Amino acid sequence: MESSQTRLARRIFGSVLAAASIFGANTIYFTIIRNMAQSSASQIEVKEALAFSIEMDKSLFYKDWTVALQECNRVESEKCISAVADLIIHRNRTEDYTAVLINSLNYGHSDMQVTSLSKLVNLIDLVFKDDFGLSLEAAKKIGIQDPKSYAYKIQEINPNNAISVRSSKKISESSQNNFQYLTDVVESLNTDRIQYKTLELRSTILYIALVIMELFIFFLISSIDLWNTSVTEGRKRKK
Amino acid sequence: MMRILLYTPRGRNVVASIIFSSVSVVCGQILLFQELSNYNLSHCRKINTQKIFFLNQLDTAGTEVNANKKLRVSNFAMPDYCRKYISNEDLTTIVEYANGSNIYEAEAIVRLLGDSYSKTEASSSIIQLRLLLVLMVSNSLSLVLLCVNLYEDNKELHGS
Repeated sequence: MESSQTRLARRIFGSVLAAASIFGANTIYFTIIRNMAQSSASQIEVKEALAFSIEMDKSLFYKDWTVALQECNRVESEKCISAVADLIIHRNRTEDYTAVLINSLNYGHSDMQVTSLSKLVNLIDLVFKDDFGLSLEAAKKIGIQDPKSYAYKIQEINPNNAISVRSSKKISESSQNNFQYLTDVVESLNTDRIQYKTLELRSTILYIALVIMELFIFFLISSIDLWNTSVTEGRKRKK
Repeated sequence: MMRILLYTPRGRNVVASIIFSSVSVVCGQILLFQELSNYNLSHCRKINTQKIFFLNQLDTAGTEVNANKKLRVSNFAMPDYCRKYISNEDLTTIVEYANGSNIYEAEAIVRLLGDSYSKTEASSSIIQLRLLLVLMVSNSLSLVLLCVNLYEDNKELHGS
């Protein structure tokens, strides 16, 4: 027949195993939630960076291209050079945004925002090739490294080269659409922040549960240790 | 039971060893919690760094742009979950600046945030260092006490 002490010891042992199993499952869940929180934090960081980058573009490079590029219809216009240089920067930054959307925000190549950005890049490339008569690829081949040099070069090649109103209008429209798409992407920042906050709260609760479980296991094991010691020492004393 | 544990050398060693082990466990848990908090803090710092980068770019672009530029300064304040790393005094100043509309107010906000995050990080690393030390000491003491008992057991098994 099993003594009451042995039964108690078995119960403690069973409780330790049960608590350890719950602890293990909780650890896995905690790790999953932490990973989700970390990826949510990275998304917020990317979107914050994107938000400020768009803001910067708006204040530094963005123009009403329909008006700005019409300066190129005048021979050797300094304003045209500045507009073309800004348009190249705008094109390159649009390409960067495409990379950010695909690589950091996990957008697909066929997503509307990505295709719209790519269309603008292609459109600008086409305008450079057809309207100005020198594609950016060809410019690279002849050693032109920066936007200003390119702008001077196209005026040098063909001073009467003009950009059609249709092309500049298309660029302007596409550019505006893209800003709207990018702004929409950034607008989801608030939702992301709330999600991150929720995940952080959930991971804190899970962490507290882990702490309680660990202390519980520690308490049970210590109680067995203390119990065993007291019994052994008691027996020794009796002898 | 308690009398036997407290009045015999072996019992005292076990009790003391358990106390030191529990101190180690608690220290470890606090350290892990601090680490979780540090991740959040570094996330807040990254966001602030981006704002600093943006303002630096605007500065480089020249005063002409800055003078004409109306900024939504409230964009430069921190997200809700970063508030806990900022002292009340700094928070009041940030809220005041956040109502403004020029680049200098935005710069003041990011500077204050940067300082606050640095202060929090510095104090957190001091606490972590102390906790690590306590953890190491209590762990070692617990092991030493356990070793004493093991030595006694060994003597009993082999006969002294």
